[in-house]
Amino acid sequence: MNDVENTVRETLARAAGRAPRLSAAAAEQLERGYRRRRQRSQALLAAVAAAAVAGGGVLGVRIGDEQGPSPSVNPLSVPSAMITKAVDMPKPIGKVWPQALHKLPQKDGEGRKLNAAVLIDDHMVLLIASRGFERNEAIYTYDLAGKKLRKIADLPTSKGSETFPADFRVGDGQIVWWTASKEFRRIWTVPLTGGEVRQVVEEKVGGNTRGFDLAGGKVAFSAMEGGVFTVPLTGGAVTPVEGGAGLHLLTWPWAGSPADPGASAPYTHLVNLETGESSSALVKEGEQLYACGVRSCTGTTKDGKAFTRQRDGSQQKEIPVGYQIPEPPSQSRFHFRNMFDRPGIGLYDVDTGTFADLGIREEVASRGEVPRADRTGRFMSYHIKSGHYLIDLTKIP
Amino acid sequence: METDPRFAEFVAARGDALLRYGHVLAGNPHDAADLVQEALLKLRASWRRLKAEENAEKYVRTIMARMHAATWRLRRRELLTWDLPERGRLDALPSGFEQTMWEALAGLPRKQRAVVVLRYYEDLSDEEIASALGISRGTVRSQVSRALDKLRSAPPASGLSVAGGVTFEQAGSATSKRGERR
Repeated sequence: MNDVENTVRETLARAAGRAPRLSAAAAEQLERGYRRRRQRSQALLAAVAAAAVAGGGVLGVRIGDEQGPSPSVNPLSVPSAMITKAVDMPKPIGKVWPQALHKLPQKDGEGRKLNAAVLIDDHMVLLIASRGFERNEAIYTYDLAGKKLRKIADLPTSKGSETFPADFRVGDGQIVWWTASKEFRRIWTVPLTGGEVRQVVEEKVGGNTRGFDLAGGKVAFSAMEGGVFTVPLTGGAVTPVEGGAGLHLLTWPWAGSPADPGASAPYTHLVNLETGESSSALVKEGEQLYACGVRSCTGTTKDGKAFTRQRDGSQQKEIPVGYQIPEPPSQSRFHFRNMFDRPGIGLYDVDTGTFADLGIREEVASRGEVPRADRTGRFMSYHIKSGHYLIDLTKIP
Repeated sequence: METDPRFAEFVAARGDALLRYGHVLAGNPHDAADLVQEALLKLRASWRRLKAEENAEKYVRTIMARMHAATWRLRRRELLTWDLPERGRLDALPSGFEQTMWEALAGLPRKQRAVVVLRYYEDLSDEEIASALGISRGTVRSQVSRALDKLRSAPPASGLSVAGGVTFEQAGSATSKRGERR
């Protein structure tokens, strides 16, 4: 199994968790739709049955009209029981929160797609140029005020089935990231001002990391199988962090469990590896927690209502039906939802009820394009035809 | 209205799982709901001929895979029955890494995507995939191999064309890169 296969598997497993859920009245609605359809297509049933016999059977039943009856009976009007309420049309984000919106370059000089990785400060963003599937090839900084793109470094060429440079972090004037292959895991660094790319460490173990961060002059990370380790930025030995066994790094100094993408209630248990303080997120009977960050968790109540709240259970806020929550929930205030009247995605502020149109439209939305949430919760970014945009959430009052 | 209690039970018990399957097949919640709805309507029509629940589920999944791989068109007929469910829907968004893969998956032709989902989500053998989709084992293997090649190398989200923009002064006409497959 190579990296692509693993990623496909994990991506699909995780995407399944983002599926819509069934309404309680679904069976009844289906029954109604089925009867209506049956009445309407009564005249065509004979033809459909004949086609089914000709088409052969599957599993002892006839696939029958799997490709649908003739177009004359489509579209079938399965009644829509959930009619979206009339709401004011959301305004474009550029008008709602102009101070938070930045336009970034979409591509570099070589036509490679640029993605925002780190908001270094109020004016500087780290961009990664890539081709294809995370084939990250170069690092740039972009000055938001001066609108200047500056190349910092080319990333070392990946060999074989190597995982391309991933998880860029900035601290102490350095940029760090990691790569992996079947035999090696490597951590790299380059000064934020540019210069030589230097290898921090090379471990003779294959496999990706799950959890990667800077920890005051050191790089901290977790292997897929767990455990938290550090290595000095200047190079040296990889050492296990005391108290980190069996845990996955979430964001330094916090590590926790469970960390599997498929696990229920990920990171409900957290440990501060510097102080030893631990935190167990409150879970009430009948509730389901979907994801926890260092500060907050999201989940559904016993009666199925989605909420976001602090790990200790305080400040619980309901998330209206149909909203999507960035993960990990590094901030609990801003969520996405589909536009009311058309495919597309908007940004919703749970504190004020403001809903802004992000300009993501059908083709992008149907391909699953959603803004990428920064793991620190500071910003979100996305590409649409008119440009590459970054929303600095800290600039929304 | 009287609903067949066994059918209602099946929908209640397996509906969410089918929506998850639909979501990885179709790539978005709208089409997932559409796909599941169509497949369940077909199941309802065949319900009395089915003997056991496990057959019902396999039957629905087969229909979904075939509909997706073959002639299923992404139509938004109207707001779907369960697109906005009564209970809260909570979606976790993927990390950047998986996000890119999710976008790359969206670029696959339908049959390749169906094969990838059956292999990596449903964990079916080549033989089972071949039988579910009504294709040969050789085709299964070649489709998987082509799909993986594409996932490794195809630019996942470049060149997307959509109408409008952040300021939406003009809502231009959208051209679809997927048009040729429709």
